[in-house]
Amino acid sequence: MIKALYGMLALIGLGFLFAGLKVIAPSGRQDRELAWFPLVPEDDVPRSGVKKSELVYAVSGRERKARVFIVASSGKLTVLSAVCSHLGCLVNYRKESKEFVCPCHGGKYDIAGRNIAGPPPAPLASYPVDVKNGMIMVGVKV
Amino acid sequence: MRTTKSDKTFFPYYFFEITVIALFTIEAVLILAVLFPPAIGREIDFSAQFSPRPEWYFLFLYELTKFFPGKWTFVGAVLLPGIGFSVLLLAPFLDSGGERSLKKRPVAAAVGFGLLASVIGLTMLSLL
Amino acid sequence: MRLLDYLNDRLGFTGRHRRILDRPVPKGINYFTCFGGITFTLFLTLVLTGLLLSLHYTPAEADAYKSIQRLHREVPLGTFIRAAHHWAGNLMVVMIVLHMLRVFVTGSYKSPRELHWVAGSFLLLLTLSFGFTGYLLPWDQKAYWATVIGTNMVESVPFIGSFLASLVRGGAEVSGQTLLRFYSMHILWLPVLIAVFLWMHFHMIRRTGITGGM
Repeated sequence: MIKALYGMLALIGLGFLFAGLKVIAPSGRQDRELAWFPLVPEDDVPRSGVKKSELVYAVSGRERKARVFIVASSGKLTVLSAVCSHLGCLVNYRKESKEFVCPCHGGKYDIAGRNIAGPPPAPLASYPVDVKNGMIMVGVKV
Repeated sequence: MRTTKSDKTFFPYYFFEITVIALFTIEAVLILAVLFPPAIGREIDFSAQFSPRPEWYFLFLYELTKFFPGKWTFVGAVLLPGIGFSVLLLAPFLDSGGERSLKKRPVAAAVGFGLLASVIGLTMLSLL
Repeated sequence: MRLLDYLNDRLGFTGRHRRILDRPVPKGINYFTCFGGITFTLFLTLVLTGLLLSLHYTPAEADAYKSIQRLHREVPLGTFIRAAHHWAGNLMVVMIVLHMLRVFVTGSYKSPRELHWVAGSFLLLLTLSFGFTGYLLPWDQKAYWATVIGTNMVESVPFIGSFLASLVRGGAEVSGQTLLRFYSMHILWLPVLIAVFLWMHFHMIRRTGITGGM
């Protein structure tokens, strides 16, 4: 009888544990798809230089915003995320030294987004870019 | 265990003192609350210039992560604080000699105050 | 008095009172012994102010910030209650550190009181968790970015970091889900846990008494 008692108690405990873990685990979809969102008209971007901008996109109907840098250098256009790869602060652009600098822990990136100094472990994330009807389109995985 | 008892009983003598101190404590909270209320923060804005800062008692952690670049981030962010907390948690077992006077347990004193000094030092460093 | 006797017959609370109020007090204690009691006083202040604050706070992405604004501008004494909660929380951390320092310096955690200290260490951890989760609730710039950094620190754990971080955030990034999670932790999970550990801490202190002077 004691064995049956412990068995039942263990069953109740495990049941709650299993259900609890199921509920606590985030239910985000893992299969993210690339979707395209308009950023700014092509004409607004200087031929050479860095422009700060805000990307507005939507994840399952909910609006999200991200700060990005549009970098135009030697005829190529890239869109870099401003989120520092170290701990997620937003980096600022320094015109004089042509570097992105993180205000939190002083991480530095060059104009191509490569991490060159400080604690960041990886370059700034860059978004896929496309130009359609004079509009710069940015691909975001949603 | 010590068996020496003071002549004063807990109730009402010490209970009175405790209540006085509780009153002072609440008084201090109320005075601070009236003099320095927290402001309403700025609304979340993803494109504003902002250098975030954690609450003061997490500043040492925030500062610690500065020293571990790249893939070593977890050492400053998780490993060292984890070890620090484990030492704290197990202190009575690590420092298990019968001696209670601090002068007679120099190793424990060194480790304890070393830990405290490094936390205070890192906090100071991040405030500079 | 008749009513008290009636209740005492059925609930038997004087027996328990006796044990608490007649407990032995060792010789030679001084005011440094008070830090623990001050911490508990602050904890009770936090419970009371927290109960009041919860009546005016909305833990939703679109409303959290507005509800804090309303609390400040429209609720009578709203700013004051929030300020008291804020300061009691900050002072509690200070008092815990002082309390632990006193226990450490006097060697009070030694046998037979090792587990008092272990339970106390968990109380420190829980208090800091209260601080971290509570910091996000105003849902302003400071709160948001501190949580981004904090949860990214969790993410730096090798192998299981991103899973742990998504568990804390309730998703891939800090969002309304995170706010709801932190709110739930702050007002339900952590209070239950801290009540358990406080009970252990106090129960053990009542069994062994406190240490006397040096």
